[in-house]
This record gives sequence, structure tokens and C-alpha cells, in this order.
Amino acid sequence: MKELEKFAGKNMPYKESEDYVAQLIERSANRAIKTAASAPKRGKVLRWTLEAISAAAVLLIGVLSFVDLNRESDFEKIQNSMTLSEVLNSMSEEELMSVNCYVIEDIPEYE
Amino acid sequence: MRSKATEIEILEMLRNPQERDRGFRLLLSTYGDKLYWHIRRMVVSREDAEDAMQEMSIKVYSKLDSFKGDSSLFTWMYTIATNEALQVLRKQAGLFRSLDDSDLANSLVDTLYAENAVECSAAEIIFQEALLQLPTQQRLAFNMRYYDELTYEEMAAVTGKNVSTLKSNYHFAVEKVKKFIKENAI
Repeated sequence: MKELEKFAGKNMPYKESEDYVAQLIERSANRAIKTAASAPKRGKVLRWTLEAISAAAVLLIGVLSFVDLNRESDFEKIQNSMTLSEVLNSMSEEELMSVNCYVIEDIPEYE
Repeated sequence: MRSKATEIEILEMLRNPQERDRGFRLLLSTYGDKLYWHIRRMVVSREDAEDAMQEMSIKVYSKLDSFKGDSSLFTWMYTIATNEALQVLRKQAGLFRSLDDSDLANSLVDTLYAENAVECSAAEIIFQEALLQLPTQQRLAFNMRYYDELTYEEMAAVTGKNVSTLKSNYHFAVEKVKKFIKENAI
């Protein structure tokens, strides 16, 4: 460290006057105080904007789900247009097995 | 020990809403000079240093309530100043480049030559050029120790790194700077 200090010292190669640095510090302090003073106003505008956006989003979601709920599903369309026997006849064996929820157990013989 | 009495006085002013702005001005006038030069050494350009200084001041003022007093006010502000300086460098390096990219180092050296005053010595310029060749973390460690004479504990508080990492960063930085000077000094 001493070696380096001897070589170049601790000065910077750009010489700024003390006045320049002092003025910059003062400007920075003023700007920080001003920015903080205007922050609540900006905060209010931002909050209103966010509230408006979220209200619109909730409304949109509500409308979309209403439309969706009232739309007839494909299954319902088939149900409404065909009789049960027609539906069952149109299904393959595997499909029939998959909707067969009841397992009919053998009835034990009565002794 | 960094003027503790003044820090306590400033803290009292900052906690009092009527005295807050005056306390903040006093805080900046106490440490502003040191923080400006820390930023300037990192970003080199005068214009960038001004921007970083202003951003730092805004952040310090807006976060005064969150200052818990775990470190000194100076260390806390120094951390914010360091982050602002690194932010400037990140912008310069671009989104996908590392802070240790050689293009960034070359651009900082160009700025150094463009902004240096006529009266400075060749040794000062070579020394600064040597520093700008260092990886950013080593340059930061070197600046904190060499120029600002922070203790390793203070450096650890600022960077969030452990003392042994900082010691090795500083050691490698000194070796690289010496080597650069040997190779480039006239």
C-alpha cells in the first residue's frame, strides 16, 4: 500500500472544485426532499389507476364466467339431442366400461 | 471512529419530523463529499457520478424510516452509494454483459482520459488505468480500503461479503495494480 501511495498518492486525476461538490450535494438534498414531498400525490394517482384496473379486471372476469356458465357443453348438447339408448348405442365397448360405475357382485346363493 | 457524536445528533434530528429536512441536509453535508468521490471513482464520468449521487440522496431520504441503526449512518449511506454506482455500471455494460467485460473497462479508461485535468501527473493516470482493469469486486474492495480506509468489517457490512473474501479481493487487486504499473509506467 505504501508503495502505491508513494507512486500515485491518493488524489484523483480529475480535479473538481470544492464548490462544485458542495453545490452538487446541496442540489441532491433539495431534489431528494422535493421528490419525497411529491411522492404522496404520485402515490394517490398510482393507487387510483391500480384500483380502476383491478375493478375492470374483476368485471371482465365476471362477464366471461357468466358467458361461460351459460354455454351448453358438448356433452349437454349430445344429452339433449339424443335418447339414452341412442347415446349408449353410439359408445364403444371400452367407453361403456368406463362409464360403468357399478360393480354388480354375485348374490350369494340362499341356503 | 467516525464522528459518532455528530451521527447521534443527526439521528435525533432525523427522528423529529420538524427537524428531519435539516438533519438530512446536515447528513449529506457531513458525508456527501466522501460519498461523491466513492461514486466518481467507480463510475469515472462526472455526469454519471452526478446522476448516481442524486439517486442515492433520493433513496437515502425515502428510506430514512427503515434505517434501523444496525450500522453507522455512514456505512448505510455508503452501501446505497455503492449500489447506485454499480447500477450505473450495469447500465453501461448492457443487459447481457458482465460488469467485468473488457468493453466496459475500455470505455471507463476512455472516459478517464477524456475527463482528466491537464495538470494531473502521468503516475496518477496510470494508477487509475490500472484500477480500471480490475474486476469490479476487486476494484470496489481496493477503493474502499485504499481511498476510504474502511475496516474489513465495514467493507463486509457494505458489500454483504465475508471478511476473508474481501481480504483476498484487496490482495489480488494490489498485486494486479503493481504488475500493471511495472509493465506500463514510463
